Amino acid sequence: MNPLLAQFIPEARDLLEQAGNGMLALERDAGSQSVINDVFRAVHTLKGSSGLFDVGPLTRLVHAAEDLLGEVRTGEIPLNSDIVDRLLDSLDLVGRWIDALETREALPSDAEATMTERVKVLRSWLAEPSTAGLDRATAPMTSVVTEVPDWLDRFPEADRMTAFKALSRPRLLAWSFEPDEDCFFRGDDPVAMLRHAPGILTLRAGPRAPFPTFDSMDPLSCLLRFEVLSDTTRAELDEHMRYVIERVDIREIASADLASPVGKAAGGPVFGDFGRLARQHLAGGDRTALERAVSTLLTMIAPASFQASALRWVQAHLSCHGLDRRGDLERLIAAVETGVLPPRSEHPAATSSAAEPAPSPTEGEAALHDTARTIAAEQIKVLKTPADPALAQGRLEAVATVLKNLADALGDSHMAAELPNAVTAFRQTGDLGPLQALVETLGEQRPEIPPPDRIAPSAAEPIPASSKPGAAVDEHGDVKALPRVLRVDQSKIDSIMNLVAELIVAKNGLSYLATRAEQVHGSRVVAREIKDQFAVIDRITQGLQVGVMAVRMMPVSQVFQRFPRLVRDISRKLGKKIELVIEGEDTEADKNVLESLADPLIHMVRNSLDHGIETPDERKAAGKPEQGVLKIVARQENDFVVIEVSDDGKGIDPLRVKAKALKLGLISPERAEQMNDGEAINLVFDAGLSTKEEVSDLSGRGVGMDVVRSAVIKAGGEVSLRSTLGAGTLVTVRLPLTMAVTRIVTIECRGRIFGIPMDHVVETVRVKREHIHRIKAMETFVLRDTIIPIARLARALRLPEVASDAQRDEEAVMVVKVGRERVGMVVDGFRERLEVIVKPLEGVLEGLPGFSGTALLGDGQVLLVLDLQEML
Amino acid sequence: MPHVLIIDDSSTTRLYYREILEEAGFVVDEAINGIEGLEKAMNRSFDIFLVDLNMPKMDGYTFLGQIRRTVELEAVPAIMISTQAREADQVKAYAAGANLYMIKPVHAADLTTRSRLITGQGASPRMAS
Amino acid sequence: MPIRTEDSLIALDGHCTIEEAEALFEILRGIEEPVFDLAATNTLHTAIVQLIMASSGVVRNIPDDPVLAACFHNRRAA
Repeated sequence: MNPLLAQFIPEARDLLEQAGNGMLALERDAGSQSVINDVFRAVHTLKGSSGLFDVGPLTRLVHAAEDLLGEVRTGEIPLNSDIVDRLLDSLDLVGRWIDALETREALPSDAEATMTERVKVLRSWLAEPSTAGLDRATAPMTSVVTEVPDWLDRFPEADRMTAFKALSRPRLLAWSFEPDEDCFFRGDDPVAMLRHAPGILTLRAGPRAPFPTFDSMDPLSCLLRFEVLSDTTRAELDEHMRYVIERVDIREIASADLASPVGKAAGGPVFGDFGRLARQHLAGGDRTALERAVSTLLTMIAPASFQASALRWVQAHLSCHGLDRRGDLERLIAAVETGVLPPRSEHPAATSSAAEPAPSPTEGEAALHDTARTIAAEQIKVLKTPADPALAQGRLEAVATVLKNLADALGDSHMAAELPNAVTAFRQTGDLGPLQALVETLGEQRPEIPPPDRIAPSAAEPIPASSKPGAAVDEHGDVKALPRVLRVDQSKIDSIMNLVAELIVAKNGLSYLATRAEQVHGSRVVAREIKDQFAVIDRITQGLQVGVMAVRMMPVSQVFQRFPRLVRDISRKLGKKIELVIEGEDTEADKNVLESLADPLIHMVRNSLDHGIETPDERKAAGKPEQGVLKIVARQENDFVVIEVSDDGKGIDPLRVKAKALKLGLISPERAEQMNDGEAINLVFDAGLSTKEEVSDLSGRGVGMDVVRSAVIKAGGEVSLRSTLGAGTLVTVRLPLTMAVTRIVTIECRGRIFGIPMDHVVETVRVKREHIHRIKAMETFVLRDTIIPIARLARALRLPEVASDAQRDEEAVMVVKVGRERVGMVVDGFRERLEVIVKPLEGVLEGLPGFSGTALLGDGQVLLVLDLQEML
Repeated sequence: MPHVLIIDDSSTTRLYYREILEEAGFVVDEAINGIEGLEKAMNRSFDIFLVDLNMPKMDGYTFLGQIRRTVELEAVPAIMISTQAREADQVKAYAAGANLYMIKPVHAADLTTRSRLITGQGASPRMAS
Repeated sequence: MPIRTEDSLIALDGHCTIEEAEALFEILRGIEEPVFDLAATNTLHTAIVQLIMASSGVVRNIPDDPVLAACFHNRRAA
């Protein structure tokens, strides 16, 4: 037995016993947190180590048990004896599977089916089965030790060969997908999901088990299984299949694994002769002679034989890789010679290295450089992750070690030499810039740098007397003034910013003081003087604020610069022709705002590339130029930076989006009736709709628009979408130039004061009671020919009803904009408008639903700011 | 030869890493949880730590936090390897002091290449031959 | 109407959604050797694809789509 499996079996038994004993103890004392933690950890560890073997059903069953225990551990699900029974049952079953592994080194043949049924039971306790798919942590652990799935050879040779030739990298994913029987009821459409799966090379489809007789079929029950080869990364595939990840089994295999000859082996001395000849040509690097030997032999033997198949693979290899990847080539030649393909030992723990194909030096080196650069980029990510100050210093030292070692590994002496300075710069000023710039050069080929005396003015040339720091000498010896730049640590700017913010709040205090002077002390003169002073201070603070903001401004080109590469890579991969037009890259915005914009922007660009712009053929058929245009435009509008991403692709069909939303129950039929096209296409921002894979093909906009929206809203901005079917789509994002100061309106409700961000407020009106009508369960009123639904703030906040409510003959209604909808919010009264610094909820308030933050008022009161999006 | 300390509560996983890394020219030592890991780390010098997340007695985050607070150990690179694959888990690992985050089960080739690069070595001896 | 039938010929037009699955099932139960024509098909829901696969029929004018090609590879009409 493989030593790793020999190690696993006793460990698994031990863990099962720990878990089992723990479960029994729990039944006696369900509240014991330490016991439940132990059980959870035992099951978790078992899941982790089982992932090293080809025991998918076992891993998935243990995984389901782990998820259930996780919920029990956090108290989401109370433990009852029913759950204990089922968990114990499942652990017992795992125990029997371990026995089978010990005797036969394989799970029983019915394991898959038994697992499916047990998992279903265990998952039935979990509140939302779909959340399992959302959480990447629950991705099923697929085998990596025995990587190549047994169904790979069932792909016809021609299909495997086409895939082999189309591959852009040395590895690919072989994965199977068995949608669950009830998936149609959840709105899943596996065929559509596959159609959009990344990098599909070829696939097979069929029933999992033979179909039942046609008449006894359930047309709404999914019985299919798909086997797919994809040229993509594990991460991308995981992302695409994330909602059904537990139904997917993904293996990463080498392209050489595709080259598996099939057929019946023929016999004869001719094959031995070929082997000797082929190895000679190989040793002599004579590709042409080898190709000739292969085609000669091919004409002599039966095309259906194993050897003919192997020869065709040699041809394919030669045409793709020439004489590179020699190990793979030798293996195929051996297959021709012996009639058997030698094992391609890529067992991770395997000790024999003889059969290991040695990558050609250049290929291995390129991959090594890539990995090194990835690790280096992660180090920057590490440093960007906030850490406890007590360990931040140590972490920086570790990062420095890693970067130094990477430089050594690649022999990059430039980086090794520059590293200490860049690290010191970061340590002293917190400026990551130099380090980041340096890391990006890792392993780059540098031209020989001429010795300094050849570029500096030679000593013989006169240096003008006026030359001084801050001036440069051009080639004619003229002195030009350079802008003098001061490098300042960002944290210093931030602390000035905070002081300005406090000053703004303190300034607001003056207007309270003026009111008090007038009302309490009856002195209108003093009040007037305070107000005059207030105006002066107001002007100065505003100037100060603008000044500090300007320091933090960065051009959007910082974010845009990655797009040319992104667009080029993706459009090549998709086989589309796309021209990228970028405008307004000098537009500036606050550093934090730009950072928050980066990810949504990538989503939007990817959507245009993936779903918006059609393939050249489709475009030609639609009478458009073959090349699509993707345009990214930035500009400043008052206090906002506006970014538009537009394409001239196929656009979004409002009717289909509407129909889909209706079908999914996201909108009512009445609502659908009222909706115009513009409102309908904006439904793609709805989480329920935009996460459904199927929609991406209907709408031209798919997964992730809800993510875009929530990121933009979090940054205080808004996003909207316009689309003309067949002509293209335009997504507009508006973000505040800065994030620091928020203008709010305060309102009163049940004697308490709350703040609402001004950006949400449309207008305030008073509405007579008789003008409020009920439509079904909803109160509404009409504002200039538009029906506006009403929400009562007191009710939304669960504040007590009071008797006077019923007697009021008119209501104070604040019309607010939530997303693209307008809602009338009934409050007790309107108060003043203020500029405040909204701070996130902290301490006891953290996580309080319905509020986005707090603000300190001039009189020292703490104001709660409402989160309308969440509340209404 | 570079020294690696594997900290994982699963004996199977430790064996798996051990075989891979010894093959790639590392000297391997093991610990079954964070506490034992700290003890070993104090008593001899290592070039890299491979740390599991969930372990009894002391988990991976705590272990990392401890070494990054200890002057003699702070500069030793560490890879955290866990079954948890959420972005948030990686962020937490980086906040705790990890230099890299890998998701179980890891590929032998990935682990070898990364461990070698992080300890300043080029391609593995096998690849270079 | 996405499903048109003429004797044993069944033409599926435009977008065939899950809603059509039961109707198609009923139609197929009454036909011995159906011939599916996908010339005017835009998209087929998996449930429809599965019914065609489970039936004893052949398919002609299969759209140029790798997934459908894989599903109907042994059903291609001569």
